[in-house]
Amino acid sequence: MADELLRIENLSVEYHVGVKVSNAVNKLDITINQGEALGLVGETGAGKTTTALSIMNLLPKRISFITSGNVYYRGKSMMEMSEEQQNAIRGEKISMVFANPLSSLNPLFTVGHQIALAYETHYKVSKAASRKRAAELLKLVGIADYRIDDYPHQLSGGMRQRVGIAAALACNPELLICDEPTTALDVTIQAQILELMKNLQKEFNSSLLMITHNLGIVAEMCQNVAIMYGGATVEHGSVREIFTHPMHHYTKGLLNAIPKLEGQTAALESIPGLVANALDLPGGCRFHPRCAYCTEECKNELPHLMTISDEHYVRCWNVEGIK
Amino acid sequence: MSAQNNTREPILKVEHLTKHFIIKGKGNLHAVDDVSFEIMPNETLGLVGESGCGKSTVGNVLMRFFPETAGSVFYKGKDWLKMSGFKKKELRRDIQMIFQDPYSSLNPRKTIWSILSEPFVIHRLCKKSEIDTKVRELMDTVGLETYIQELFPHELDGGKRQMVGIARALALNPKFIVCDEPVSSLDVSVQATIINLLVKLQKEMELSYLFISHDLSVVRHISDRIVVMYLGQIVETAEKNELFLNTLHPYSIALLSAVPTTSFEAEKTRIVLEGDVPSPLNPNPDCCRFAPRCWMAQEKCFNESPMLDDVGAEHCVACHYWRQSKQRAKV
Repeated sequence: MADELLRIENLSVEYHVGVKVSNAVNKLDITINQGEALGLVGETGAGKTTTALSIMNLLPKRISFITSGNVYYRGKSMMEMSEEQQNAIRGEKISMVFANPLSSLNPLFTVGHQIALAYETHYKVSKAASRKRAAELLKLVGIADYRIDDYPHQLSGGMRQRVGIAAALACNPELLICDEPTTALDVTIQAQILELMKNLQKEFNSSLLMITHNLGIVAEMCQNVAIMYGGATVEHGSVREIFTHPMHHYTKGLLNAIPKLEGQTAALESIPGLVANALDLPGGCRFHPRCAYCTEECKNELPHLMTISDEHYVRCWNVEGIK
Repeated sequence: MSAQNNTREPILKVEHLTKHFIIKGKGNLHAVDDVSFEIMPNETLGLVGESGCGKSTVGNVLMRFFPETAGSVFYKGKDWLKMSGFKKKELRRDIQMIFQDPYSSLNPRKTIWSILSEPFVIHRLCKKSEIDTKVRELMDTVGLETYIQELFPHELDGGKRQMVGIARALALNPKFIVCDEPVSSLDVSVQATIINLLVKLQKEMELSYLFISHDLSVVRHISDRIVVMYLGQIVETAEKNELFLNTLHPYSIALLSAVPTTSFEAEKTRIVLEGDVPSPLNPNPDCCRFAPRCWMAQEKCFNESPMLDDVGAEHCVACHYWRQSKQRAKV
């Protein structure tokens, strides 16, 4: 059994939008071990980003509320820590790569400054030392170090994202959270970034939480995967097991909805209906209004987590029926 | 009608299409350089490439959103880019477009009804009293519920909005539609719905598509033939299965290997291209444009620009060393 690094337990997050309440995350449980790469997959509005932000405690104040649950980092509760203790972890032990590199970098500072910032803050070193570290990191992610004094707008999209990764890696974090790191990029650039992250993960034995809607990326990067729908996981386990023997109808639908690069082209299966609206989540199984195999039980009660094997857990009432 | 289709007369013929943008103080941006292809009736031609390779510019020039620098486009034998006035307006009905972003391509101040009725008003195709029925028929063909006609675009989700965009393109019974990344801003489950709709409509209405996309798996799914573009030029074109099974151009090989897939069966060799797409400003005419990033570039590539050669089976490739590319990729 590998060392447990991060455990999210029974997490629920609400957003208050005017008088309405949006249940973005509902009783989510996730565990990430040392050296593990976990993929968190779901469509828009499934609560993926909210989960990531609540790990980092970066949720927007005043409108978002964690109503239940806890996040444990190495057995210690993140929620009960003081602001200083949290700051010591954020950026050093756990760091994050954001989806849009153009909006997550500050346009008024050079990239070298922004990469050095985390290192300087956490290790209390001199300007010269942190600058040296920034140059190292730039080289590590494949950018020539003479660009250290460039501003974000002078770099291309792929380079900006690599700067974002370099900044996140500044303190050799134990857990790297990547929120859709390659959606804004072309496939060839995406391949570069994924290759880079794979190598870095091997080199530093760090853990990875890969948030994406691209199942292909998960298949290439991660050992384990959790499929999210309506703010909770519907199925999780090892990538190979889940992608070859999906049990939940949502997972099956997702896998059948993407066109393949091999084999015959048949009509794509689309999932009828719309992604569950967090403002008005259906009772029972969140997926039941879109599920072709829905029964009375599905409408009334949330399914328990069923264990198919050590590597496969699913939340569905009709697992027997699927077999 | 179908008898005519069998003679394989292309519905659209693009010849040496070139579009340069003049950038003040910087020179000529070669967005599209000498691009030629044909589209048969009832066929889907996929146009793939990375951002900045000129694929959208091709679509926009075909729609005459901006003038071409050189070259010509023949629609059913008629020189479409030279037409003006009444004739141009008449042909416009046949050539329509579906846009990438369903959020910015629909007027936020108009209801869905007025968006969908506009083509009929502009082209004066029916009496005012008939417009209502026409709009309803249109919404029926794409599978939109009628109550939606009173809503505004912001009240719909991405998939529904894209359906409105498709309905608008279909209003005038077009023969040819340019689809510029119609599914790239949608979620996977919705993407499948839209792709299935486009395939169904093509069968029912005998449409031809130019399907522009950067997503190879989507292009493979929907296209009959595929054109791969790099920096404004066509590097490879072939029938779909031929292109995917017998990829010859080093860029196409790299592009295909870069797509992450969910299959565990085949062990893949991935070719990771170094660097970014270079700038299309003032390219060197005597150098293969892909050479600086190419994994098998040799001296000749930097001194002589390759031509698009037919290598048999309607497979064209622009590379000096295409004979070696397949073996090299496997090593």
